[in-house]
Amino acid sequence: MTIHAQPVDTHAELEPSAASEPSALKTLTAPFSAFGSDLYGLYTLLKQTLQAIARGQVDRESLVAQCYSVGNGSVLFITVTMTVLGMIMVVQSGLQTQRVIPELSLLGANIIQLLAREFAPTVCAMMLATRVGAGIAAEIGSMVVTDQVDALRMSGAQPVAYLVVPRFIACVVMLTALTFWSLFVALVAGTFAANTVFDLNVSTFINFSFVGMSDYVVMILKAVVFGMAIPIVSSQRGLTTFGGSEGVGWATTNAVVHSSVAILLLDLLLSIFGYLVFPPL
Amino acid sequence: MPIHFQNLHKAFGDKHVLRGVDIEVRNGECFFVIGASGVGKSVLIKHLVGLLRPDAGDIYLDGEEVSRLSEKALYPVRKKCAMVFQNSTLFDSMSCVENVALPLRTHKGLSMHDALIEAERRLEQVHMHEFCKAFPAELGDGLRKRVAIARALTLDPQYVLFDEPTTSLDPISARRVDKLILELSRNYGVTSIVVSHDLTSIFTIADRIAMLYQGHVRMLGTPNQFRSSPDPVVQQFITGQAEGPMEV
Repeated sequence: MTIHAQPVDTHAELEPSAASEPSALKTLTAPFSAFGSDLYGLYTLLKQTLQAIARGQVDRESLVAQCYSVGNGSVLFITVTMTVLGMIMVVQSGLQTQRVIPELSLLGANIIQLLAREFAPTVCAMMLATRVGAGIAAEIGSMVVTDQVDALRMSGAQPVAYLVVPRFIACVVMLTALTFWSLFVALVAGTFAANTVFDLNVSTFINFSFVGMSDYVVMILKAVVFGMAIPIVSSQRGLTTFGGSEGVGWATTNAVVHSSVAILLLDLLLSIFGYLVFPPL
Repeated sequence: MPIHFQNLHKAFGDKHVLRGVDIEVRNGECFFVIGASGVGKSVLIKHLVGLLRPDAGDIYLDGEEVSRLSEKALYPVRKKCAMVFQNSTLFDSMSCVENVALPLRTHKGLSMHDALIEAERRLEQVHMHEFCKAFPAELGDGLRKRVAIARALTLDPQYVLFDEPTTSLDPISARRVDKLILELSRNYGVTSIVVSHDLTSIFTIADRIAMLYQGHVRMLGTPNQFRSSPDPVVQQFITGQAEGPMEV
């Protein structure tokens, strides 16, 4: 016997009901609600990632591949950026200083402290957010829209452990390493600029007298926190992708924008924390 | 009934996709879910294995309500209820044999070595042994689909969900997939739920068919009952006519 299930009044369903129209209050609070939901999503993903690491759910092969991609793949990019930045910082700071006092013997000491506490970790993280963050969101987003993440769950593998953990560890480790590299590169480039533009000799410019352990602690702390923020923000964007290739595009753009904003906000918080807990010399 | 969707509702934002779907699937049958694109066929079967959560309604698998289980509690459900996705969904970074070995490692806890041996045996069953070491990107759609089916069957599931298994396949590969689905049902007693638009598949291997339309089950019956249905919406769909009462 044929079963004609549930006859449908199609016209009634197509007409939007008054109850479904969003209220003015709902419209006004929607961005805050979405922001709160995003923050909760980030917190949940971070918690799941740390739990997976604590349980030892780390695919070593994937971790090595990610370290190579994040670290080695970014060296040239970071080197060029920090070379230019190091030279510009020295020239601009030197010219400004000369307007007040014609004496540049402490230029190097100030620049090195500024690089260590601020520019090396922050600029390095911003560069990584554009290169690595976009890649993470695009890769995971593509897997989501082609059901590969669902296939992982069906195969008994946890997407967070399989996709996020290797990228998370790789970003933390390699961003810390790249921060030290950034400091070194900017210092070398700055020394060259100081010598060329202001005729400062190398021994005068390379002056670590203003840099103490607290500066390195702040630098490493920033590198680690930024290294956690980039993969978490980007992975969360990727994992919440919907709507095919257009959705992947949005996720990628959002990953870069949100990672960059997160880095700047975290930088502000960590700088305040650093000046209170680890005051500069 | 081993599988029962009861008054299932699901909305994505303002779009109410499922509006109270009731379907029961019998043991060992080859059950097809048909309907226009975007009507919620894939959404429906994804609920059974917890890939989506319903807004309202219940889903019973072997008498157990599964729609509110935690991710961890869904592991045994996903072990006995495999799914073949529309896009094959093989992992690009793994070779074919590694793809098939993954569920054996995660669900059965086999070592990598043992899982790979078992995976090779499984690939041999679907005549894909020569492609063990190949990566998905090196294979065509039909071959990728066969590897995906091998991966889904690797845990000897009682239930298999096929999401448009013949889409993008040539007619010969499509009929081979049909044959495989039928063999699973007839020879091994596997219950299959197949989401499909492929009219040849539907009228060749389906035991029963449910047609979804505007969030509801429009009709549920055997292929013969569908052929003789007086419902103009059903007739338009199964005859593939562009003009008719169906709103897409």
